[in-house]
Amino acid sequence: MDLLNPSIGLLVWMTISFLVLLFVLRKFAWKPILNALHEREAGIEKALQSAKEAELKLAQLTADNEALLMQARKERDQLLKEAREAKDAIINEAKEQAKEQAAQLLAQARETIKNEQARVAIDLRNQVAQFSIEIAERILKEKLEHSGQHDKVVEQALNEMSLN
Amino acid sequence: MRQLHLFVFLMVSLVSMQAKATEPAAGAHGSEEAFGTPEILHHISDDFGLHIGPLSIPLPVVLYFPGQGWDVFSSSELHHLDARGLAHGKYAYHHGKLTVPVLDAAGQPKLDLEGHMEIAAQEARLINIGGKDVFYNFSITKNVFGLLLSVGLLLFLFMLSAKAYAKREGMAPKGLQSLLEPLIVFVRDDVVKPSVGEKHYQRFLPLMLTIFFFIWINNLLGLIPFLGGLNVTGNIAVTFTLAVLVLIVQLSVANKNFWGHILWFPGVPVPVKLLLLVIELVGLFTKPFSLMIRLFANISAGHIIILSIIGITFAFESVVGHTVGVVTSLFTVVMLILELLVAAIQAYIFTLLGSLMLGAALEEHDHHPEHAH
Repeated sequence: MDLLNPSIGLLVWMTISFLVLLFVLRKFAWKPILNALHEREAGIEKALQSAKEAELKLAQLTADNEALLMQARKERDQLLKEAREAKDAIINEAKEQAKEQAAQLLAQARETIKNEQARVAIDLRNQVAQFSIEIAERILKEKLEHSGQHDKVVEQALNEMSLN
Repeated sequence: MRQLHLFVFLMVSLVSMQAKATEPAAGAHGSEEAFGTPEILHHISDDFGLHIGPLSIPLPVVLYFPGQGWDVFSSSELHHLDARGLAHGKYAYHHGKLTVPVLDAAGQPKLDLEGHMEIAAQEARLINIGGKDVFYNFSITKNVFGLLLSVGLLLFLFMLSAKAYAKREGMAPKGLQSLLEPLIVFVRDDVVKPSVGEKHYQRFLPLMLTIFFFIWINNLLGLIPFLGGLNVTGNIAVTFTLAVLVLIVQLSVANKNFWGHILWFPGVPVPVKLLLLVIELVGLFTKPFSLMIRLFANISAGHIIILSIIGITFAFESVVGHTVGVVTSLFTVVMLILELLVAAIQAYIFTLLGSLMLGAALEEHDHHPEHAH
C-alpha cells in the first residue's frame, strides 16, 4: 500500500527541508532565544538573590539600629541615673552643709546667748547690789531719822526700783 | 455562552462549505459515489495539484528517470489527457497515482486481461513493490508545498521572535514572543530537560524544539479547511524522516553504557545475554518505528474520521442529506476540536519519546539491572 510506503522524492524533500530548517533555526532562532531566556532567568535569579540579600541587610541594619537605640537608651538611663545620683549627692551635701552651718550658727547663738546671759547676770548682780546698797542706804538713812518707819522706806524704795 | 453559539455556528458553516467544496472535486475523479473511501484516501495521500477552496492550483511536476534525465511539466497537464488517455504524452494518471504505461508498436498503452494498463515504470518508493522500473518524483506535490509552507512559516515566526529577543534584551516578552516563549520553555523544561537529563539536554534543544514546532505547525495546517487538505505529518515519508533523524542522533551520541547494555547485557548468564542482544537490537529500531507510525497514524486517522463524518452527508440523498448534514457538521466540529488537541499532543509525544531515546543513549551506568530496560 502506497500510504505506508514512503515516496523517495518526498523523503528527499523532507530531509533537505527539515535539515535546512533545523540549521537555520538553530543558528538564527534557537541560539539567540535560548540564550536570551537563559540570561533573563539568570537576571531574575540574581535580582531575587540581591533582593533577598538587601532584605537581609535591611534586617541587619534594623537590628543594628535597634541595638544602637537600646544602647543609647541604656546610656541615657545611666546618665539620668548618674545625674540623679549627683543631684542627690549635691542636695545631701548641701543639706549636710546647711545643717552643719545651722548647727554652727546655733552653737554660736547659744554661745552669744550664754555670754549675754552671763553679762546680764553680772549686770543684774551689779544692779541688785547697787539697789541693795541704795536700799540699805535709804533704810539706814530712815532708821536714822524715823526709827519705826523703815518698812515704809523699804517698800517705797522697792516701788521706785520697779518703776525703773 | 453567546460567543460559544457564534463559534459553533461559524464552525458548522465552515465545515459545510468545505464539504460542498469537496463534492465537485470528488466527482471529477469519475467515481460512482459522490464521496467515499477512494476520495478519503486520495485526500490523505499526496497529490500533484493543490486545491484551495474551489481553486485548483497547478504545481510543477518534476520527475527524474535514471539514465534518461528530467521531465518537468505543470500538474494541470495531468487533467488534459490525449486520445490514448495519457497525460503529457506518456503518463497514465489514475486515482492520484502517476505511472508510465507499456506502449505497443502503435504507440497505444497495452492493456492486460482485466483491461488495466500495463505499467512500465512507477514512482520510486522506499520499498520497490513489483520490481518494475522506477522514476523519482521530485515534484512540488501538495505535501511538498505544505512542507515548504510550514518551513517558511516556522522560519518567519521564530526569526521574528528571535529578533524581538535581541531588540528587547532584558525586558519582558511581548506579542508573538510572549505567545511562543511559554511553549519553548515548556519543551525545554518539561520535555527535553527531564528526559535527556540535566547534563546533556542543551545540546539537543535545537533539534527537539524544531521537531516539536514542525510537527505542531504541520498538524495545525492540516486542520485548516480549504487549505488544500494538507497532510504533511500524516505522511509516512515525513514521519519516517523525523524518526530516522532521531535514531541517527541517538546512535551517534550513544555512550559506552548504552552499547554495553545492547550488545552484551551486564550481570546475566551468557544465553540470556544472547537472547537480550536480539531483543535489544530489535528494540533499537522498534522505538523510532513506533514514533513514525504513531504520528502518521494519529494524524491520518484524524483526517479520515473528519472526512468520514462529512462523507455521511453524501451517503444520504438530497433532503435527508441536508438534515443529516447538520448533525454530521456538529460532529465534525467536535472532531476538529479534538484534532486541535491531538495536534498538540502528538507533537508533544513525538518530542517526549524522541528525547527519552536520547536520554537512554546518554544514561550513565548507575542504575540497577532489574529495571534497566
